[in-house]
Amino acid sequence: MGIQFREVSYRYPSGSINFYQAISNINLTINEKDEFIALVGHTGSGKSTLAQHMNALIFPTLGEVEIFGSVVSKKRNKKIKYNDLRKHVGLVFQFPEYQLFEETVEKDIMFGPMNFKVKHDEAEALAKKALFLVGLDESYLKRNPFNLSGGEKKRVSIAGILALDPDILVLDEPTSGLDPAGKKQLMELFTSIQKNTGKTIIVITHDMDLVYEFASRVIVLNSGELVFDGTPEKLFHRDDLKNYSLDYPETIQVLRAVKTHFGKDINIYKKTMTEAVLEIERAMKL
Amino acid sequence: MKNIVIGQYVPGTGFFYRLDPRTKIIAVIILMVSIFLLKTINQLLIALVIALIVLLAGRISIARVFKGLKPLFVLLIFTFFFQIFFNKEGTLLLDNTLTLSISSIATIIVWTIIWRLLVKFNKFKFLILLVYIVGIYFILRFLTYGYSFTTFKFMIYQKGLEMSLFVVIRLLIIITFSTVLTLTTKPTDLTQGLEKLMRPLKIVGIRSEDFALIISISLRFIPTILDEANKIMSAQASRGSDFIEGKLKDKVKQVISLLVPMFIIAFKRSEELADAMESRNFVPGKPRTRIHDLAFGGLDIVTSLFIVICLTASILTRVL
Amino acid sequence: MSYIDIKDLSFTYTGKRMILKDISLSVEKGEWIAILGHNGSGKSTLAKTILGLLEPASGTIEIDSILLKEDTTYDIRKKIGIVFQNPDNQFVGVTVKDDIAFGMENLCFPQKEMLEKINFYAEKVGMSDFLDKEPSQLSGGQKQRVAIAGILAMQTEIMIFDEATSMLDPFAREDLMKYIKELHREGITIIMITHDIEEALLADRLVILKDGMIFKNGLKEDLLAHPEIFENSFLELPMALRIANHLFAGSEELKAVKDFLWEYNLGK
Repeated sequence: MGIQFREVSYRYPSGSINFYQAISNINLTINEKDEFIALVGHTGSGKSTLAQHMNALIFPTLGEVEIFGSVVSKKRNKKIKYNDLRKHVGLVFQFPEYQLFEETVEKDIMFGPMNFKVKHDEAEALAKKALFLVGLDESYLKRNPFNLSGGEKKRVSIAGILALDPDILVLDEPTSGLDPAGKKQLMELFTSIQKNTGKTIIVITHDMDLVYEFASRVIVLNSGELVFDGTPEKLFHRDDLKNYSLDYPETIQVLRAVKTHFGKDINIYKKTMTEAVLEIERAMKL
Repeated sequence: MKNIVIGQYVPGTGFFYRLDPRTKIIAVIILMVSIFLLKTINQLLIALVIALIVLLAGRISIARVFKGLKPLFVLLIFTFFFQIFFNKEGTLLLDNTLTLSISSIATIIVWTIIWRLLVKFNKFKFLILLVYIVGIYFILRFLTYGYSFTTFKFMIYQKGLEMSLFVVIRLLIIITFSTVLTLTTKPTDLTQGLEKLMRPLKIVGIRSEDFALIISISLRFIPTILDEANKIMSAQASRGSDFIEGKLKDKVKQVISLLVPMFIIAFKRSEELADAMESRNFVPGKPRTRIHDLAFGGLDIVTSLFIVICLTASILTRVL
Repeated sequence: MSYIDIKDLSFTYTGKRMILKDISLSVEKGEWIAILGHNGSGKSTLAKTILGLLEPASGTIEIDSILLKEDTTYDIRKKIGIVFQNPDNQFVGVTVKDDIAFGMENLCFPQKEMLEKINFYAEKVGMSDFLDKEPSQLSGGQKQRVAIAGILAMQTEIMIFDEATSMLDPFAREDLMKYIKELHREGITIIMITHDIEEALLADRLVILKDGMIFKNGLKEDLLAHPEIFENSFLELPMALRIANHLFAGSEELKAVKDFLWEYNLGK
């Protein structure tokens, strides 16, 4: 099951204001379990467009996307209930302001399940469960979403999608606007969700350090084309990242500078500050 | 929603583009008045011919103007038929009995299916629609086999035909004027033209500069707001709110899920924009200089003369 | 007498919670200071108060010897420009040209002068080819550059950047910082509000706000010597410095690495 992209291209309709970037010839398989994928690429490379194909918000211009057995192509198929696909693939957008609208956090999270005909009581239970999953406690249920901090709003918007219990969770730049501690906390949250529920998580991000530390798989888009699909380790071992307008993680950059300057045999492929410190200490002692 | 082009402004050359927007605005108003003063269809036809000559001289593509009329075709057709059916004066031109019988119903169903199929694959939707309507007429007129449910008399009177043509042509001419206005005038120039023309309203306490600023800021934000609306709809669609399914109660909630974020974002925007404007020394009511200037030219004088002549001619048709 | 003098400034919206408490700060002409702080520390409120967009509960603000009052707000705004966080919500004009002109039009500059300045400053921020473009055709970074051009055209000498890069992607951010560095070189006094420490470390002096009060105010080098300051303010130092600070202090070789990492960080 999962999601399969087969020769997918998308061109935005002529005459329209350019909401969506183009993508071309995407071939991609995403499992419905256990993956933690980072989707990266320069601004305008098509990441958001690709993400919106995953839950059939956008239909491809060429090719087809198979989402949990339903084949989505250019023509609208009357037999497919596209809305139901969003129970399997949940997409959280970057700005909570585009999603939050109810008077209480509880009601807002319940909106999703109730759109799928879930009864009120059951929806309440789902809302509670989703709230806990994002690390917020019961006291948030009756609060007004608009009085929350930026980080809290983000979590509530994620909970709103988690309440649908999708197999695959896609998040568009969830850590943007957060301070470094907040970013780490959120990524750790995703890791724990992934471990506890077995869901596949796809995070669109610009932060290479987070990619290195948390993702098991990286997909790189460059000007609409898929140019890399593999492990972060493999990606950062390449020397042509500049061609994709990508940076190396800070740890690698710093270790590389130290290695070059001091000529010591340093393994530059370390993911966290602590690992980097230990590696330098080890290398300099020799 | 994504395919709205703001105004219909298309860059070009020709004397319409060189006219001051104020001239064009006043011209449209006065010409509309002139057209309404005309009473016979012949006068109207002369006006139509003059209008077409002027359009050609100004190198305006008739096709473009036609495109601007498209949304209003339904209105024109409705007006046409309305007059024909309800105006019963003058000589009887056509007297038919139309029958709704089993054979006619069956044929209409088949004919409608053919129409829908043709419309899907063809570009000339309007032409096909006309053919469809004519076909319905002939079916109702001639296919009288089988049990007939009802019959009615379809009569066209001379006056009715004349009136409907008159009203339709008049509408056409007027819509053409405003289409040419928006086709050849940039929204910003149009706003500035209106601003200058509305200066006298200061007497009643309306500041035209404020009005013009409101319009230009609104125009500037239309693409931004459309973009946001789209993003909000996508975000809500991600949680099952696709504006298609559900009972009325659900649909209402879905609309609220779109409107609430839009309003909240709009309020935040107003605050931030106000701060930005104030910090750049904007003070409402205080005089400001402009980088754009409107200036009358020789062409404007010639045009004004022409308009005056048209108005005079119209008034004369009534007086004489 | 400093160029900008803020004395005992306090601000509150409701009267119950003090957003700013007794802030005292001086900025010299041509200085580049960075105001750092976690979300909710009062940074943006401070910026808006300096421009007279918000009225303080107590305290004074003096810019170039002019005391900020209701009747001097207009004159003070001639001297200071501010670039806000949201590139869209400060773009007033229908086109780039119109937006750059907006401030000058408000100040009643003559038309000829405005047109010259528009071309000059658009060139300065690399937007000469975009003069007739509408904001919907521009990226966030481009809109911020237009904002800078519009403010420079008003001949302001002080610029406040209120988290001007936080809505931009990393490349646009780097790009904008280049322009800010250029402005500093030309002698513009810069107050940069940010929560990005890497950006803040480009400034001469850092002011760390915490819960509405000034926690620390000092030269970059002095503050960096005490990394706990940053930890206590929920700010994270750049990777190179964090590594440097965690290296075992005892050995000579590691000290050399530490010095190198400091140099490396400054060079970035």
